Amino acid sequence: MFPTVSVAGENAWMIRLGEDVQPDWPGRIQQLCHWLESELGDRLIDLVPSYSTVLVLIDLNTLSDQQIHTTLQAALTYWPTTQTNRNGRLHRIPACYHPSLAPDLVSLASQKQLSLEDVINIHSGTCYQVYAIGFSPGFAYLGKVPNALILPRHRQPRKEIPAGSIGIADNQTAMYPINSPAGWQIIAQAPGIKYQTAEQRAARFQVGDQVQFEPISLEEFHRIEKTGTLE
Amino acid sequence: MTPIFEVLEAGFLASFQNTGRVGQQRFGLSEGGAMDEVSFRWGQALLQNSPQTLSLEIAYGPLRLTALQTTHITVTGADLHFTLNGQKAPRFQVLSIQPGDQLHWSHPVEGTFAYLNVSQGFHAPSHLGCASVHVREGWGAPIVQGQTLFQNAGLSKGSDAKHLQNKPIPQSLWRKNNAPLTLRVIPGGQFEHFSKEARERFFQQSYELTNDINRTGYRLLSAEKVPPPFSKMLSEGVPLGTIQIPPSGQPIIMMREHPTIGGYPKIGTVFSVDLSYLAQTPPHQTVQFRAITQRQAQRLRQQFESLWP
Repeated sequence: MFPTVSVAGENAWMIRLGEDVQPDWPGRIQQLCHWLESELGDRLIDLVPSYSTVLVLIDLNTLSDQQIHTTLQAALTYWPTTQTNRNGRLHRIPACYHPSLAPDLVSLASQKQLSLEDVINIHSGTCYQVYAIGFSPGFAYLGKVPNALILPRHRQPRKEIPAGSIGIADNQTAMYPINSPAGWQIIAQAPGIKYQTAEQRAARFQVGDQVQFEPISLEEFHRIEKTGTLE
Repeated sequence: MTPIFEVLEAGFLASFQNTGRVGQQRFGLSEGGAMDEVSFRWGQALLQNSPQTLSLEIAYGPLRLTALQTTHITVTGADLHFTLNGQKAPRFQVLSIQPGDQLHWSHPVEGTFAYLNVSQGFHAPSHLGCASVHVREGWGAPIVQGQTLFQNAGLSKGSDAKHLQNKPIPQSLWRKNNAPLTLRVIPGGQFEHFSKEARERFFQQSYELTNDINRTGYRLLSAEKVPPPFSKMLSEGVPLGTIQIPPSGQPIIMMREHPTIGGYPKIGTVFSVDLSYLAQTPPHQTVQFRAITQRQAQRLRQQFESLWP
C-alpha cells in the first residue's frame, strides 16, 4: 500500500511513506525532500517532512494538474531508491549535564536506576536524527532515545524553561530554542543559545540531520554563557 | 521611510500584517499574515499596493492615531466604528489624510479585524523575509502606545488621487460579518479513517463558534461530538485551514499562526477564501461545513485571484 500520495488541501498533498517511521528514514526523507526541491524549483511553496510523511505545498499558478500528478508519482518511485548514507549535517551541541541547570536530571537517573554518569554517557553517547520540526520554530524532535532513558513527559508542564534546555519525552529528545513552557524531562542545558538570533535558531535543523550532545563542565557552560564564544 | 502616524492609544492587538511568510513551515514557522485576506487585499488594491505591502491589522480596537503627514489611506475589514476627526468615515474607499488628523477605531460593531492601509504601505523590520508579526512566536510585536508608525518612502505622497479608483468590493466577495456561515471544506487528512456516521455528522450538523478563537485556531462546539478514528498519531504537516478533531470530538480550525505539525486526526481543510469570513465571525455564531473537491477549490481560488487589478 505505501508509499501513497493524497490531497491535503487546495494546493497541498501529503506523501505517506509508512505506518510508522524506521530509523533509516530521516536521512532518506531528507534526500526525498532535496529531490522534490530540485524537481519543482520555484513552483514549490514549502515542504514539511515529519516522521513518516512529507507535506508538499505547490504554487498552482505554475504547474498543470498533470504535471503535479506526474511529479508526485515520480517521488513515490524515487523513494525506494533513497539510501541511509547519512549525508545530513552533524550538529555537535555542547551540553552541561548538571543538577543546577537541569531540574529533572537527578530524578530521571533515580527513576531509571542509573548513576548520573550513566545518564550522561548514554544520552551524549547516542547519535540522534532529526525526525520532525515543529511546536516552535527550530524545535527539532530527535530520536531515538535508548530504552534505558525513556521517561514520559511531566503531567503538568513547567511554566517556563530557558532557551537551550535539553529534555527527554518518551523516546525523543530535544533542545528548546526559546524560553517556553515545557513538559519534557530537562536533563541538560546548552550554553550560548541567547546569542543566536531568532532566525539562526529557527533555521538551524532539517529533518534528516544528525545531532550529538557533547558534555561540558559547569565552568565551561558559564564561560560560554558569559562570553558567547564556543572556543 | 517617513513617520506617518503616532499611536495615542493602542488597544487589544494591533499588528503589522501582509500575506505572510512563505516557505518557513519546514522550520516550524507558520505563514501568519492578515486574518481576513479578502479585506486586507481589497484595502491594498484600492491604493495600488501589492499583497506584500504591510497593513495595520486592528483586532477589536480601541485604537487612536494622529497623522503626521499627508497621505492616502483605506480602512477595510470589520466595522470597529472608525471615525476621522470625530466623524464616522467610510470603509472600502480611498480617503485623503492631512497632518493632525485623528483616526479612531473604538469598538466592534460588526466583525473583528479592521485593516488600516496606507499609500506605499507601512515600514517595519523583516524576520526571515517577512515583516508580518507572528504574535504567538514573538516575531515582531503588536504596536504600543507612544509608538511612531512609519510609511515606506515612495515617489509621491497624496498627489495621485486621480489614479486611485474607488472600485466597490465585488458582490461575489461580500459577506455580512455577523451571520451564519457555511465553510467550504476539501476532505483530506484522515478523512477516510473516520466512520461513515462521523463524516455524515460532520457535514450535516451545526456548530457554534466558541470564545476560544485567536490567530492560532478557532474552536467550534456542537451538541454531538464528531468521533475521531483514534486519539493521537505520529505528527504530520498541518496546512492552513486544517480542521483537527481532538478526542473531545469538537473541531479546531487552524488559522494563520497554526502549529506546523500536529498529531490529532484531521478531517479536511477549509477553502482559503472562507477563512477570511471565519476570521470575522463573532463567538456564538452558527457555522456549518459543506464538502467541495480540490479541483473546485482550485477553480474558486483562481476566480478570487482574477479579481485583483
